[in-house]
Amino acid sequence: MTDEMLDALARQVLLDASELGCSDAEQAEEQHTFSPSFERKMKKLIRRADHPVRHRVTQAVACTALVIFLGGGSVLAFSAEARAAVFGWVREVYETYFSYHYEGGETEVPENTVFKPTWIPEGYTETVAPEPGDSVTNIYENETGDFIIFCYTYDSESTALNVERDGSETQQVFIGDVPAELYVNRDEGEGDTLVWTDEYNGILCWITADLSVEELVRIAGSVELVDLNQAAIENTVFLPTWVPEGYELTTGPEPGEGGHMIYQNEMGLIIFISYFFDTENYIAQVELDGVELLTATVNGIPADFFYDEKENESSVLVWHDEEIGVMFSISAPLPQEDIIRVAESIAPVSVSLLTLENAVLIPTWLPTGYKMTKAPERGKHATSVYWNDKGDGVIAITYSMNSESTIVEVERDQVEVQRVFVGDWPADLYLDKDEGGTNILIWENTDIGALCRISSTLPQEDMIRIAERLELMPVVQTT
Amino acid sequence: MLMFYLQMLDTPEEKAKFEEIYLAYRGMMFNIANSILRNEKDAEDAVHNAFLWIIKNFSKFFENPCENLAPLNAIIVRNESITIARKRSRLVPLDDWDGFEDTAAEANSYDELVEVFDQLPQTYRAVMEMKLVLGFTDGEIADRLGLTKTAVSTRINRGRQLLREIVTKEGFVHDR
Repeated sequence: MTDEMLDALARQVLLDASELGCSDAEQAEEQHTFSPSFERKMKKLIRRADHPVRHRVTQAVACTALVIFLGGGSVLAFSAEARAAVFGWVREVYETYFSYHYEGGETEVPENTVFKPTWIPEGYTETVAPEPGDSVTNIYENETGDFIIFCYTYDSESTALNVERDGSETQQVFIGDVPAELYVNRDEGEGDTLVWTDEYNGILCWITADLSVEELVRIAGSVELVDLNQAAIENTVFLPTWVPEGYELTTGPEPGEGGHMIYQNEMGLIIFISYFFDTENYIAQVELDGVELLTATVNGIPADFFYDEKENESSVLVWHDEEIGVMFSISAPLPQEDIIRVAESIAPVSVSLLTLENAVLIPTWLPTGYKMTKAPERGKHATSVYWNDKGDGVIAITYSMNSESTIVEVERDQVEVQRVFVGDWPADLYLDKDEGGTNILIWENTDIGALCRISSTLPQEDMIRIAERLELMPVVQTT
Repeated sequence: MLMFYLQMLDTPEEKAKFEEIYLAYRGMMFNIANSILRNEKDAEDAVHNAFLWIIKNFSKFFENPCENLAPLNAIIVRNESITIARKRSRLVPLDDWDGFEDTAAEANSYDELVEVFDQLPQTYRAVMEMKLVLGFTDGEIADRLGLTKTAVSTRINRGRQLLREIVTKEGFVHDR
């Protein structure tokens, strides 16, 4: 039997072996309901399957592009050979500039969605957000005043792009398989412009920035269609800015269609706050047995207050903020006025704007029975401590902003080192050779620029899970 | 970038086929992924990665006859799940090849051979599936599973050798 025959047999055997497990997997008792975020990702793939196919670009010449009116510009010299027509985009070469314009029908402009880069070099923050329309602009800026400008426009005969030739050289580059033109500005510091066409979506795109070719291409390659409504949901959490003294956040909200948070005091009493963006996926229920329904207002919004007069029993406040499309509820063993004060202090927080200067790292998941006994304080170095109910298990979470003065030492003799991952970040796990000893997980969180450390007696999987669920939370005022 | 992947589906028919596959098998693939990862979010990521792989290798995927699509989807998502699991921890589980080899050598028919390969130690199975069914290179397999290329090559050769010993021994009935 030849090697090829053997491999063919092995392949079929492996397929038949795989089939043995398929019917069990197909007929599992409970069919999974896929999460909204999964459905959205798959819809993106499938939605394009319903659109008519466009032909591929077959010519090596750069796609034509349409952008910015520079106005004016007479045709001093026109080269018919320089005309490259792909999908109705036409680029014409004039003596002092390139001109791009579109010939042909128009593409429908989608609502509530925009194209934007999903990768931007470190140090840049968004200063002009894209808004849906025929022509869209998205700007990022860093501390030294440098800009990255990403723009695109839909194919339309009414727009044109002129790119000045004087002082710039032209290079052909590729964004994946898509050809693009790079206009290199000979005036240093003025920024280069990368221009390309997304033929499938019918848009002409360009980026202007003082960055390397690789960075420009990387930004261009990261451009994706973003559902603005969903982006807002995914980047926002709601948090109270006031809670009664003694209550500490033990479980924090994660960005998404709904969130909840738990504040607990030393006596074990809990304030439970939840919210949901308007969606059919969630239903709030309140048991009416033993409670009295009263009316209240939260910042002028009518609210239902389910009052339970029994000591240490929770009353519930529920209200719907129509303006932002969010339903809130608070359950707490507090007087009505305190619950309303907490409610009225709830504010949206954009997750992307949090830093260690205005927030602290809090775990949004802990093993059952653990609660915070020492909260982290805002600043460049912080430690929080969590003990379990029995008092025989402790977790310490420490982080320090990247600095030459940050030093962490771990004794080598007592530990066995493993390389693991916290999300996509490589991490070092130091396992104590003594069973039940303290293990240490260390990694760099490059999003916030901090070295993080978790020390605990927990198993490896729990430590990694805690690490992966550390979130920046704004500091909450208490009185 | 996703838009580039979808440019590889050239016709409306191909795109409709993809959607059909997605709807028919996503539940099964999720169950397989979840049985490995024990985490619904990670299992959904594995399913998503599996469908991305299918798109990127669409024509190769549809070279397979219909009766092979279910087990092929199972193999794709199982190996995406193992890749995710390995990213979490660099620990490579110990595979008891010697113990397995002793019992495997008793297979006397094709059906028994299939059952033997269904019991392959995890890393061996993953390596052989990635190499012989999905067409990954040794380097790609090593990268995904956190192994050296030598370890990958050793496992493939052992698997091949075992298969050769079984099917060429006297009395083996190849009744497929």
